[in-house]
Amino acid sequence: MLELIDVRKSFQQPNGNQVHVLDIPEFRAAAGEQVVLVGRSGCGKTTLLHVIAGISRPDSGRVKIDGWDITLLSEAERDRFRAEHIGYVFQTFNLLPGFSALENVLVAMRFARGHVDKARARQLLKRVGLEQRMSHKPPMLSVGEQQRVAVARALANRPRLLLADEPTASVDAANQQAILDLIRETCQEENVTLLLVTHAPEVAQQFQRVEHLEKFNRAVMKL
Amino acid sequence: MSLWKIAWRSIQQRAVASALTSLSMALGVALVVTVLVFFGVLHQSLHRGAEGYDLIVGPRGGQEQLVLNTIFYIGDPVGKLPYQFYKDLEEGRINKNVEAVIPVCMGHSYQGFRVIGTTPEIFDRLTYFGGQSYQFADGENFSADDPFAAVAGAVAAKETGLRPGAKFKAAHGTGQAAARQHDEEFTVTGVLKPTGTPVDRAIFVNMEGFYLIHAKEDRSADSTESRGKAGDGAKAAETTSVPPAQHNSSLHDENRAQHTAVSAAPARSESPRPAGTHPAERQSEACDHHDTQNHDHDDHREVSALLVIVPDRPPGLVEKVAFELNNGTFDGVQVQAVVPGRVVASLFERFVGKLEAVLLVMAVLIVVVAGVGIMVSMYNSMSERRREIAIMRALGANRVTVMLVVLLESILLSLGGGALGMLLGHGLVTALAPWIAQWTGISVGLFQFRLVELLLIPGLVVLASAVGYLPAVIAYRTDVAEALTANP
Repeated sequence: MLELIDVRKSFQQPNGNQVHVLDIPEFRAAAGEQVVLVGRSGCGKTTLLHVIAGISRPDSGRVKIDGWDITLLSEAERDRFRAEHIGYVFQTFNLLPGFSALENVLVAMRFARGHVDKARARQLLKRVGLEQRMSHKPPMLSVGEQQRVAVARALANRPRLLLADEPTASVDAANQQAILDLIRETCQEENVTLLLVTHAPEVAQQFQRVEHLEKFNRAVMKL
Repeated sequence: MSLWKIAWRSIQQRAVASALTSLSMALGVALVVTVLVFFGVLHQSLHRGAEGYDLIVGPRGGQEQLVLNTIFYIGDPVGKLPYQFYKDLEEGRINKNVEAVIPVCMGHSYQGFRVIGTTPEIFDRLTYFGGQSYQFADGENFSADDPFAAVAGAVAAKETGLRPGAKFKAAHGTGQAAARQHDEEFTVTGVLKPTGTPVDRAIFVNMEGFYLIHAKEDRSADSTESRGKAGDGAKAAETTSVPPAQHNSSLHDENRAQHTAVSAAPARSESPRPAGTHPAERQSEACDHHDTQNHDHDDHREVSALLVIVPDRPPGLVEKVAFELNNGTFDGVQVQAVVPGRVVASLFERFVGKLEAVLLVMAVLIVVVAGVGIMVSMYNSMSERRREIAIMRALGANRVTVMLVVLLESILLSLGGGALGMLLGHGLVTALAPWIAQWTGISVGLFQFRLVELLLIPGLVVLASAVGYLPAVIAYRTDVAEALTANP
């Protein structure tokens, strides 16, 4: 389902030096599989997710999702592909502050398909336990509730792949497990491939497949 | 969820800044609307006054002066036309294509309002503003048989307190120049309903009354002069000792009696003129100026101008009649005939139109400045909105979509400000309505609307697109990965 081959990504520093962040010979994940990626700070976890999501383009290599090599797509095509096939849960939720919980989910639908499915948006919010909080804007929601909205939004367009970047890092301890369970259960229910990034061992140990980025990212290995 | 709604939510997110930038736009648009409506009213006022008849015929001279004096009662008459010319034109001896002729005789006032000598036909035959007939709010039109009857316009009646049955004395001259009052009193027979034309601000009297007053005063002057020459001071003292009421009454009765005689007499005297007097010398004499005491007014009745109605027949007939009058000499008299609408349009364009253009340009510049204010506000907000834009992009919005959202935001701010400005502008005009009505006679309502105001909508959209372009480009160029990884 997800296949990375010889993916390289580097950034140019202000002093002109090139910093190699990603050098991944191969990485695969099957459909419906739930994979956790662990690694220390700065080892390229977020960059890897950006490359998989098509937010950043790798310098070289191929990123295939459901057989589509997104590195061959134009930026606009990648935007569309991301909207339709990839869900993204951010560490800091990244909800649009001026929009209600329901509208945050609807916005994702609007950008993906040009129209919205309010019934599904409501059903998703109900699924994450926010049935009574749909009209509330993010500042009126608790941190845990905000991350639940982010999960619902990420699943709005029935993605084939869900990328979760430290989804429990900003959530209090009481909510961490609840959020994690929610993500895993909903992905299971909708047969979504999950690639979850974390640096928390207690999160990683709950997954059958745990990948250490330092072990397959040659850019980190060289450091 | 439409892009409009997404843009609207962004505006709500920065409610105070958005409200302030919209308010600045509103003030600019309010100014534009005020200028447009105000000059629209002025335009309407000018053109309303020029409706109801086809030509103004007056002595040779400035067209504008003739129109301004005859229609708007501004300034002095160009000169005078012989009464006989009026009668000849009215009776078809000069031009057969003339349907009706209404004389007007200027030069008097009452409490600052012009007193115009004319005939009752001015209200029977003429119409105003799209063919509306003159209506009386109180009383009725004056009769041709009563030389000392008068009709007051709505504003003039309100300001002076004239009502049917009220009597007043016309003063010689107009405005500040009004000096001596005539002894003879006119009696108001009716008050007109408001018309929104200069008629509202005038008082109309039977011009026969003017002629009688002037004839009487001239005779009196002649008599005094001859008595003075004879050294008969005792008789003069006796005349001035008559009590005012009795004096007026006797004059009135005498004038009414004389009116019959004057009406029956030939319009133009056959008596020889005094040596050295020429018609040109009498130009300033007739209805308004009486300082020359050598003239015999009974023999030389004159009018200031004539309002001419041409039958509604083949197109171009009005122009044909005007051409014939302008190029002919009628018993030694040369006249000018003007189409009032054209002169008014020309006047408006030359003077008022330019002022309107200048004020409009200034108001539009204020709108543009307000637009720049929107740009600055949005530009400044872009740094804090980078993350919001990056989130939208991460959710699948492409560069063009986020650019559109920002442009729509600019358009909403401009149109919202514009809508508020239109309300403010019309509200301001409505607040000024009593003053405008006082000045122009036109009632202005909240919905006094000019079609040209509709141009504001596409204009504001274009302006908003222009000022929103720079912030939109910033949104377009936002580096999603960088913005997402930056600290929130």
